[in-house]
Amino acid sequence: MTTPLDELWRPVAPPDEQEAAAIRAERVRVREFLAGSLDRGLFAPRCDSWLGGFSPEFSKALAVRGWIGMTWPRRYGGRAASNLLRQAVVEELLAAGAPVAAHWFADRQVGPGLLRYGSEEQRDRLLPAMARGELYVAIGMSEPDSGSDLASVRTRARQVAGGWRVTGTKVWTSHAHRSHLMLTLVRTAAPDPGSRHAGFSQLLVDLSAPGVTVNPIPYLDGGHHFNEVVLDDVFVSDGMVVGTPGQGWTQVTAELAHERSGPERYLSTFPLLERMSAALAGGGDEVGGVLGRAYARLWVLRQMSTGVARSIDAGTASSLVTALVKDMGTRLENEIVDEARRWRPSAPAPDAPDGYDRLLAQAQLHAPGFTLRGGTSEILRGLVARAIGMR
Amino acid sequence: MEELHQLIGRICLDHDNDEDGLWRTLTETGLDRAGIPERFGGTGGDPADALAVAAALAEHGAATPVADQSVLAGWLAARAGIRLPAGLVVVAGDADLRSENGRIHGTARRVPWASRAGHLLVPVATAPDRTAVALVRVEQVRVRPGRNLADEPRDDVEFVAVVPDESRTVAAPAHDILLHRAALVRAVQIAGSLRAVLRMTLRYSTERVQFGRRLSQLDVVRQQVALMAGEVAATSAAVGAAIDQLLLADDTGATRFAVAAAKVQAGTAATAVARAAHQVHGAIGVTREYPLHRHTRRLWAWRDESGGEEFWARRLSALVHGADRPLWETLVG
Repeated sequence: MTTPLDELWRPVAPPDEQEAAAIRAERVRVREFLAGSLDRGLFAPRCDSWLGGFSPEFSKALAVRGWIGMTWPRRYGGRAASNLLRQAVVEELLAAGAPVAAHWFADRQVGPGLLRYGSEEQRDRLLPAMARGELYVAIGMSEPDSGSDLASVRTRARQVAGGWRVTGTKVWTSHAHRSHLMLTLVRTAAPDPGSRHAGFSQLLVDLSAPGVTVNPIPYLDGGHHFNEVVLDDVFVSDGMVVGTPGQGWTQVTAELAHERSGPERYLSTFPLLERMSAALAGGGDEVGGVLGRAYARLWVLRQMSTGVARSIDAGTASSLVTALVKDMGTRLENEIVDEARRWRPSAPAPDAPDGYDRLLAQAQLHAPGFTLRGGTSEILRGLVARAIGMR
Repeated sequence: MEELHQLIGRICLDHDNDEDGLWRTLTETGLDRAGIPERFGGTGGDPADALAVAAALAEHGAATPVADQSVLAGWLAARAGIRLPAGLVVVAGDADLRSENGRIHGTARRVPWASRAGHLLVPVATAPDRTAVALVRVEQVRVRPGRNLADEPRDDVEFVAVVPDESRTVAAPAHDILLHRAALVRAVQIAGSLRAVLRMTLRYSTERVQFGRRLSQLDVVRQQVALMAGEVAATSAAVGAAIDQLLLADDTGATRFAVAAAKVQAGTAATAVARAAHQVHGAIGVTREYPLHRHTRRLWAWRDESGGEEFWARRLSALVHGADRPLWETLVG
């Protein structure tokens, strides 16, 4: 008899030798490209580079090599590669602290969302530009009164001739000020007291359309990636509705579940760990034990996350495991910051000449977000408890 | 594997609280010697089969030396070309043991299940990558019984000029390979036991009512159990990946890394899950009558056997810092 608990330890077969060899070869390609880019000064490794490292030039360079939209069908500019292969490429990029923020959301979730729910016209028109690293998409979910409780979203879309008129405010919208579109969760029907999750839809809002105002929300260190996006009677044509009106909740839930357990949930502070590892190697048994625990945990999370990528390929992905990977991975990201600090006599500083101090400063200032974005740890644990049958 | 799991579940149910009967059935079915080639006295299959048996037995709270025989003694016997005699055979290894003129001297400490064994396989290093493997009858040694936190036999075995029945040389660092295999065995057993603890805690929390609500409806309890679930899932993934590596090769850097990481994970999980399980269970969980201790005492014992988290974490650091490539490449393997 199987129970929901069995999802926690369902074995995942390792790739066969041919696939493993293809993955190794792809990793080598990425490493060579990264080494060359570093030599030419095209980027400086940084922590949290999938949110903080925005570089259209770098994104286009990745696209030329086939590393954006790589799981998408060829006719949309993809390579029809496995999720496992994409996982390997993304891991390499994040481990190196490469700037991948510009195309990040298009590659990770908007493209796959369009493949699941989008129209043929949308795929034809949008996916190739995303895969070229030219079309960037922000995510409009949270609102001033809707954080973890997404079902309280109030942005409204009312039907008009040929489309919808959208009014409302989205917040914490990373990179909206330099993205072209925003995948936006809206209400297309009045709240139904009997069903909290009914009446939602997903629309692609053109961020250059009349009625759209993007206001920066400075991050705590003064940096700018967050925005408030005010939508004032913005027209969105029927062709920009993703999926079926009214099915937005189901679509968003699928989107979140699949995009939760990627390498960005455990590698945000890897550049710091690497620096720390090099600086403290040979520093004695105690620090050896501390580093070894971090290596072990990272290795374990890689196994779990890779298992999810394989299960997505097999069509058996478990939203239970993805929630666990995110919770555990983001805790590790924080622990790395704490240990890096504990073993460093000097104070971190954003402008420090030394890489260790600089990476530690970046990591510390970004750390509070790790366990919030994509669902807070507490919400995720509640989801896990429900999924394993705690009623 | 699912069928095997169910078969072992039935066997354990038939022999609840009857260790001798359980062991008899396991030997009659050959499950005690899975993963050992037939020509060396086993019932065939690979180490993954043997470890699956060990995990299932641990999940059912059974005290048996199955994996100590099949995964450790079986491997050493096959490697040395020795056919396992009938009865229980376990490995008695210790750095203190030495061989002089074909006679074995010294004491092997805290040998799992030695007092129940008929024969001992004794590896004695004769050079960095050469090991003499001797087959010794238990009547030839003095056994001082001991036990671990779960009352499983962990016995000291004293050798005084013992002349083995049979001795062969293995051209491999057998001690180091055995240490890794033993760590993997304990990690696999921990993974099985963790599943049982999670099941028990989940069941208890949905049945026990306090303050007019089931424990499973209290947010603090839900958060605790979700954290337990994460550790259980992580340990299962870790041992699964370590077994995959072991099947590829016995003694590569990647296998050593995977086994070390899996044991660190298993030990970490054992500590966290046992603590949370007892906290959720409250006073009933600390009684002899309630079966939680059948698992938590083993978790506390197994996490420290064949190296605890600190030991293996330091080994991992040594592996990473001794490699001539970046941390990331070592991690990826």
